Amino acid sequence: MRLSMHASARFIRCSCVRVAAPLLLAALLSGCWDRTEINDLAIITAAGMDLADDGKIKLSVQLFVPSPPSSEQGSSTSSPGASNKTIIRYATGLDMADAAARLQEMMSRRLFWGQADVFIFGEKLAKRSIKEPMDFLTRHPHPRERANLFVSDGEAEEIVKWKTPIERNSAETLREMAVLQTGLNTSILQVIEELAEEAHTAVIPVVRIMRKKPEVPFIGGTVAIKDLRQAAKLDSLETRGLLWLRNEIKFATLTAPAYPGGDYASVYIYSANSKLVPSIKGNKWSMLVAIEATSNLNENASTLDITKEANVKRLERTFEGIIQSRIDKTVKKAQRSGIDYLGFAEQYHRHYPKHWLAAKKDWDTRFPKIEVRYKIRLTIARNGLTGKNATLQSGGGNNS
Amino acid sequence: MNNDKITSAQLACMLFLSILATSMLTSPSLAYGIAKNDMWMTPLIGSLGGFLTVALSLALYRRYPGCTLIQYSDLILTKWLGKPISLVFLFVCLQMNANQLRQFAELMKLAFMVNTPIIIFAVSMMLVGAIVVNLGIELIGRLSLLFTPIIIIIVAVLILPLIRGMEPDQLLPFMADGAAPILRGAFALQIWFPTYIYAAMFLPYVSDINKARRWLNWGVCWSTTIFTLSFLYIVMSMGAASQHFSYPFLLLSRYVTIASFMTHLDALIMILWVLDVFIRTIVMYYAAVSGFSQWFQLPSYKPITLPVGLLIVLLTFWSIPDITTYNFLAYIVLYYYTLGNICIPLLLYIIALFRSGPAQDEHSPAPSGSGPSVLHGEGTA
Repeated sequence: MRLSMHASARFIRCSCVRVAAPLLLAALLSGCWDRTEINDLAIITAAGMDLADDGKIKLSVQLFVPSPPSSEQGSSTSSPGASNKTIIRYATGLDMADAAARLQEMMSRRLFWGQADVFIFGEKLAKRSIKEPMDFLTRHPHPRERANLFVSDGEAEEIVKWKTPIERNSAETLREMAVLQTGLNTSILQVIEELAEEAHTAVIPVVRIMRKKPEVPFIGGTVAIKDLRQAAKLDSLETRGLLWLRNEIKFATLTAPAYPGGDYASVYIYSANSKLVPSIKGNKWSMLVAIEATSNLNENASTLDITKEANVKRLERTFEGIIQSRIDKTVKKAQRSGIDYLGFAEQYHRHYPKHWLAAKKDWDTRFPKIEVRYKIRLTIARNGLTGKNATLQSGGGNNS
Repeated sequence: MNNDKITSAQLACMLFLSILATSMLTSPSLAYGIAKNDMWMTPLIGSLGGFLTVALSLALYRRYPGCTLIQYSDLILTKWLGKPISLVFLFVCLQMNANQLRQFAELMKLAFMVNTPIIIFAVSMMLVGAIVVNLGIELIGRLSLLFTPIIIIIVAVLILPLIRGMEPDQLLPFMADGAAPILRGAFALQIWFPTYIYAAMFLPYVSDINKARRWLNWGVCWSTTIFTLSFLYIVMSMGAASQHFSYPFLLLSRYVTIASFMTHLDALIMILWVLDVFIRTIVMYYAAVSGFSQWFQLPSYKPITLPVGLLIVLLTFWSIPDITTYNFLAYIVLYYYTLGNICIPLLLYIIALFRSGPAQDEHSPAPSGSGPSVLHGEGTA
């Protein structure tokens, strides 16, 4: 009797627990606070920041609007681009966050920054300050630090709304072009890293639109940022020099007369490595640019017989000279402007910390006086499928 | 005591993961702020705190076998002095619990789930923790051993893809400001390393006590290695940008791409974060609960599991209105973590050296207020 009472009490307690547990779980079921459906999102693929006339920031975004899955099934036979479209929206605000909030007011879907691969500063904004947008982009948890940064030649809006024939949208085009690295490829993290370094400068590639029909944006040139605003502008060729200094050259094609007065020859550099070696002797600061590059001969229309070792060496010296003059052009330009976007300051900081501490204050006057020396070593490793090109010479093989 | 037993290896894993949990994300910006690009040397010196606490806990345990720190502080200092001092230790333990819980909840809310109320993270973690704690120490040991390889693999997956982009040059200049910043950085790391003193709370459950010294010292070595490697990794891949971001490691995990198509790996760091903080929670929670039950001399710790949990959740939100206050607290908690985890055990050990055998009535009952001041005297000496 007593035993069964005890047992039934336990049974009741057990069933109470069994009823209570699902009820408690049910309380959690409703709580999907951070649930987001993909068709509630307006996915930003690229954003352009321009300076509006009244000093506000004009934000133009390129949105990728995923269509609901039901319609996608219907259109699965047609091209995938048909069901998903890219649209452009604009908003103006006091700062970037304000502009984004205003943009949100006009949207039926929630803005999502997590897939934004490209951010473009308008030229006018870059000339004023990139501080505001940069703070937003690093503070907000959504934008990715790997996103590419660009400065546009003119309005950023132009680039954002440009419709590309090849890739999905202009953001994708720009990103792919940056990866191919004919110009710089800078992510948000890299820019922050450079701004945090001793010289407080950074370089951001420039996008411009070719003004002929058809209009094509391309990455040509670089903007140097000093004190968070655009301080200097390099053209494409000077950017190549900058890439050499920054050890970011991956591929390069160099073309020059094979010998003075001769026809052109070209080499394709497929592996390059550069290094800045600072040195201080007494009061004389100098910087050695050491470069090693390996290349293949791509073209040789001249009469130079490249099957002879001495001629290959001559050709190598010629192209070493080309590289040097390219870099020197960039260095001279930087030194004339007094803005150290070449990364010299960081090298002195790393290798001569004590000297650097003393020279830090008047770096802008010291930087132009630094002597830059070069040690360039270029190897032509292969000469292609043909050797001596006697057949293609008008007079036959009459070279030395 | 209970019949539950853990092995020395499990104990080492428990403490190793406890340290890794919060240090992985927050220590880099703290250390970079002090030691700049020499910060990778700070754990090498800071590990001394770990080795010291391991040695202290083992030496005290040899004198008072079968006792935890709470129990032998009564034996060493008499009940009158021992109780207040072990209470200070327990309060620091509660505070550590609360801080890590807040850290966990804040990061989840900041980076992953913006709309979820922060209390949900804290309470759900505490409830799961309470279940594990009530199931006993053996489960905690086994879970730690199980999770250690998973967590190490995740860390490796996050680090390896960026190796190509590292610039060893970023480590220069070497010791530009001398050794002082490194020493200060090593001191700042004492938020984490002396956590090894919690071995003193778990040694009575260890079955193979003769291996404990070796395993615990290995644990400190692993911690040092992983600290050093992650610091090197962060300096070499982010350089001066490390100070711009509050959670450099989280940032790098977002930056990683594997073969250019696997991106957005921060889901991995969320797994790492949840698993690892879970281990830290159950280890520290168990220490707090069992510590309090020993302080009150209860026959079983189970009845006070939930009350202590509630206390921890309260402390999580008490007097920390926002993350700015929390981040500022890091500089303060350093001092009372040092007080609880180094000074108190050191004091106990020094006094134990002068006394032989169990407590005698040499110390006349002192007013309890003098406890902390004695500690300060020891700490600075």
